[in-house]
Amino acid sequence: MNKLALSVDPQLDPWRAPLVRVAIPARLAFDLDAFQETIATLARELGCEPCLSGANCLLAFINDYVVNPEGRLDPIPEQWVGALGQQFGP
Amino acid sequence: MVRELGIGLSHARGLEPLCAAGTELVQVLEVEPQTFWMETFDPVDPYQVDQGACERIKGLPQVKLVHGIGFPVGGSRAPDPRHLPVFAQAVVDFDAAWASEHLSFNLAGGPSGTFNTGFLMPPRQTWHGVDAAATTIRSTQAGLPVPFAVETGVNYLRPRPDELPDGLFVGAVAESADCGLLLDLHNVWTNERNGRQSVTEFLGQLPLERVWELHLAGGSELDGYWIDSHSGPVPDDVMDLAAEVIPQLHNLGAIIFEVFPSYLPRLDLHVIEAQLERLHELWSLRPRASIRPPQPSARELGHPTRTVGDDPMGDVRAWEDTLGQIVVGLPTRGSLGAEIGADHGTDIVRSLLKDFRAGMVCDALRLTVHLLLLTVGEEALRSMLAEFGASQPPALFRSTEGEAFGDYLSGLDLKVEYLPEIVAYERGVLRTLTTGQATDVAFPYDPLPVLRALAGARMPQTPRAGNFVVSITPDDCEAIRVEGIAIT
Repeated sequence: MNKLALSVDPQLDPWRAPLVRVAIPARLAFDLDAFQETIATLARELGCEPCLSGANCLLAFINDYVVNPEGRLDPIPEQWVGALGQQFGP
Repeated sequence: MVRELGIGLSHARGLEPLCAAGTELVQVLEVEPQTFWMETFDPVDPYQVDQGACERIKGLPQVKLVHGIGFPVGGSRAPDPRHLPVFAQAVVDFDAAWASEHLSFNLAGGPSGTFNTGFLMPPRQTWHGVDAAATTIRSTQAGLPVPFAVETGVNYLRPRPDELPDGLFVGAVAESADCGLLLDLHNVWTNERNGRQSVTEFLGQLPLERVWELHLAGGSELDGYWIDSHSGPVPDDVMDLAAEVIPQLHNLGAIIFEVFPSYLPRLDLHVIEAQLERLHELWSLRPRASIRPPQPSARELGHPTRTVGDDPMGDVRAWEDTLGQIVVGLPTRGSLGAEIGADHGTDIVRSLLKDFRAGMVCDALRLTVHLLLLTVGEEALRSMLAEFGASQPPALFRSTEGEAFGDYLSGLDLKVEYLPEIVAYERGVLRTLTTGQATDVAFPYDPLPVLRALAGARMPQTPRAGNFVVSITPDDCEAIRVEGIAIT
């Protein structure tokens, strides 16, 4: 897998902070696993959304993840228990 | 007639561990190839396949099916013909036994031309609608090397007095197009729960010998409606219906359990395994002898009021355009617009579409979304997404929707630290992934700690100031050798 690389470009103006160039392969940049040590958030693709005629609750789930100070996914909040009483989750 | 393949899953990356474990539990993997296409905007070659994803999925041991998404075949407007060779290649690459798409539409006309509705919409259920759908299906079928089936859709609108019953419409389309049927039993049950035709009547009007595949899924409740959310286990009622109908499906080739990827972190894989074990029990109920369907000419598509009007497509187009405009928030005129607009089902669709588009932005601009949630909060972000959504119709691809939302954000005067650089960075990543061209993004601070923090959904600590450029490179470029760092 390509890695991050750092290099220093030569500067003509000695009073200007040196330019640091960071090169990141795009697929690595899109893969958040490369930038974090905690459990990956959902794997992402760039194409069409998968088949769904219902509620995509990704933003709500991400918000739950963001505001949790320990960075873990909590057990399912009450609102995600199905109307038929199904319980699911760890 | 199709091969008997067994029990399977609709592909999602989070389910790959179950697939990699072998074919005892998961025998079939249904792939939606458009989920790993990229939109290039090259007029000749607009759809590029992520070959890495393709190879990874091919490496899984299951027999594959190919299920199209994004190019449904139920409307009067045929999907972009440029997609068909890429879709056909996916069929070949995955050695799929058959292919399928949705008996829905997602292209509608408006003041600025044809637009994407962003959500699968119910077709016009009249004889003209049958003809329109059959024509579109045949044009897709002709470009594929395998048999083709259409999926029975969900419809959140109430039944209309001028439309054919659901089952009669679907059956007539399948017989007119001479195609197979993908019976999504949860969709049909959802429709019954929301006031449409009962499952029993629907199945009674369907040519069951054309059913090659069964989809089963779970759902959720929203504002008094049952929603086809693919959010968890199959309801017991749907399992019971499946047990009743499977003995009548003489040409059944596969039963697929669907779960939408967003819900996977909330579902233990053991729940999925338990569902698959129940599906294996259902599989054992199928009849032994298969039946070849009679040729369409042997069937009478009789309906006493069938007529051919002077403008057969006008009524179908009016339905598609009016419904499409309503769900994306464009103003409509006339009695049809008033009628459809008064249907609470359109409010449900609009709500689902908002969340759908938000999900696309979350996928494409994850760091930006994390930053905005950490700073302005969910309510403000949803307001921005609503304003963005009102300004332009949905894109088909997540990369395109993300790029457009990034453009919208760049036009706002948001005083959020790090936001301009993060938006520029993520737009640059999308651009490089879709074009193969390197992109440079300037940062007035050390970018890596900020990117890492946001990837972990944490607010960055104040980074050291400096003069940085991130070069986002195509994957086939060699990394630049590390030579040293000098930072103020």
